[in-house]
Amino acid sequence: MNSLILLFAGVFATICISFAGFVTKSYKDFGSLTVEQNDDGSKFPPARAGVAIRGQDVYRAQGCAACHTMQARDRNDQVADFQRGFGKRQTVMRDFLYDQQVFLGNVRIGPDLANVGVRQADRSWHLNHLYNPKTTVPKSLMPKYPFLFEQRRVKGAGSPEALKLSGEFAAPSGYEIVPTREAEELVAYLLSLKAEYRLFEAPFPIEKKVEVNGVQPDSAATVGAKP
Amino acid sequence: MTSATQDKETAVPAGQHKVQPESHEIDASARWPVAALLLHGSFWLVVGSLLALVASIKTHGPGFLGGVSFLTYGKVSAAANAALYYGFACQFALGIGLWLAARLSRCVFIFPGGSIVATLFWNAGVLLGVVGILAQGPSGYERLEMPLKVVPILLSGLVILGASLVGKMFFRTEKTLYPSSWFLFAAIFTFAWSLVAASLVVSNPAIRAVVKPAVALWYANSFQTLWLGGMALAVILYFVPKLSQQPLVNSGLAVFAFWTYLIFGTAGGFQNVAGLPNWFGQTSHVAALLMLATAVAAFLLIWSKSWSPKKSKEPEDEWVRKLVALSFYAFVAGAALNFLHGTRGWSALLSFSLFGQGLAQLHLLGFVTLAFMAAAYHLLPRISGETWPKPALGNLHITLSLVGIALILVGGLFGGWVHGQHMATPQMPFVEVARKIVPFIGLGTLGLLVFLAGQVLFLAHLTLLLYKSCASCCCAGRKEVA
Repeated sequence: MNSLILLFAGVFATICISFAGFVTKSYKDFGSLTVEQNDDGSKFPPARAGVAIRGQDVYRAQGCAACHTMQARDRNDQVADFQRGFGKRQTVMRDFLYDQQVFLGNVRIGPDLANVGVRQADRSWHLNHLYNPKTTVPKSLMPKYPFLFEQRRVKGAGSPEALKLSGEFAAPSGYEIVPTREAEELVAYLLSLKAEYRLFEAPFPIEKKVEVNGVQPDSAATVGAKP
Repeated sequence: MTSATQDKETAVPAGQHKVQPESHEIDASARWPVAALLLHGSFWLVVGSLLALVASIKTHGPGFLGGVSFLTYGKVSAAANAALYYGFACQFALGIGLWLAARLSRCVFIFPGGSIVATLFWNAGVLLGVVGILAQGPSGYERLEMPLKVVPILLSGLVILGASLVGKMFFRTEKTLYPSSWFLFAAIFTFAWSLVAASLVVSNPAIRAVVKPAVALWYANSFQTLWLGGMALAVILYFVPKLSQQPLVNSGLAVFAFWTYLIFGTAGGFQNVAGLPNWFGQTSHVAALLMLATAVAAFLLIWSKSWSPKKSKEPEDEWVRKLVALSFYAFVAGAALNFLHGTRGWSALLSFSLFGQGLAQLHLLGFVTLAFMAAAYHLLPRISGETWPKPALGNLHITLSLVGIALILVGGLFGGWVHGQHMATPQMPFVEVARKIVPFIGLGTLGLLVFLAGQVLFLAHLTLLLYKSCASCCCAGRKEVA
């Protein structure tokens, strides 16, 4: 194979096919995704509030995707995503339709976050967890992000936004810990991560109910998305 | 061979250098461009290994350098990847690729200053990229973690270096295009195309975010498999016949290995991604299976009569032989594990575990780094005109590197298995899952520490060699290295 021209032609053709197959096909398929509208007028995926969209950039900047994924896997006998509350169905690209960036992630040092807004809907919990994860999960290995918060002197009755911390984590006497704008945006984004609505391409899996002690199960749950 | 015979046999185009230059002439012309790339690459290898070590410590010791906004785990690990892949691996690939292209094409460097300027551009881009990650956070795209605004700076350097590499092949005085040259050409072409295409897509706000993950994964696979992996295979296929002084067994096998590697390599990278349609993962899984054919072909090509280790007088020949062999083993092991990783049972167990990181480390450290180190140990004495000043340093570097890599891989691959087992147990809280893998991450930390120590020694040894070369060049004529 001594001809550089032929080598170039072969390499060019191969890369072209790969580019067409993955890049342009992705553009064609995902670029044309639209929101799904049910008969009652509800739309899925739901749009995120502006503060949550800004929170995506905070999520990116802090490198959260290095430890957390946002892709729940379809249930089979070998994964525990649904049992862990990571979602009720497979994650699909349409879930990220309104996002400015998609953070699929590829390793779970920490839990999957695709459905964290359902699994943990308490704003205060998330703020405390970001400030110091050990305030909410004592054995957590997640690093703390105190620079997303501000320690300031208490004025009057104190800020209603101040974190409620106690023990070794409490602010020094006369001071309070208040989330910065970035912390608020990040928590708003995390609270917006909900994946328990049905989509046509991602129906809920069939729930099999097993007879226990001679008692027949109730009728099987209906599955699938809207017609 | 007379010049008339050369003209007749090489049939060179008009205007081309008609007499084949000698090896020492080629090496002399390659001296500063290649040395600049490898010296800078070695520096970034140390920096990247240090950043990776810090990131690894933070995984099991979150209080380590904790609370510092520019040293979060996410930023440090992304910066480590940028330093290792773009600072070290790319520069070694480019430097070794230029030297291989010059040697295989029997073509001198016409304008070495241009390559040196390109090297400065590349390093400026990497520096800005690493600092940008620590300051602003990663971009969020694997293998494109640097702020995307530095890509044009990198491309400025890549265009010059790539043109130099391809230009040598086009204006070659050696008629034959060897298998290594095929891999060199495919690697540089793929890298340039995929870097431009991917960076344009992911940085374009007019393109929907849902399009970008697939493009980023396509780029990450092209970068790792075709660019770095292709360059490493070029090195292996160059050194095996060279050190054994026998040709490769079968040219048909070489052609088969090349085209299967290219075709199936371009289709990989989408295994174990749940958010994309199933056909992405299934295509990659089939490609991973067929890539085993490439591994078998390469094995047959290399591991038969053509490869008969001979005792050599020069210490670097033994280093090169050992490193090339281990690199090839890592390539074969990586191909097999990559395929198994995508099978239904293994995928369910190992997706999102440390196993994926272990595979990436096997590829970068086991396959690519060992091949590049082999090439560096061989070519640096030749371009500098000096022998390695402290063979004991070379032995220690290789020993520490191999021990470090082994520890890192055990931590990643076996730790990934344990990680996957625990993730599949819903009764175990996730915080417990994370704690169960701490010993394996700790093993990886120890491995990185040992590996880092080895690379510091290599950088020191390389600096000594270049200093010795400069000193002897200034004081007297250089002695020719055979």
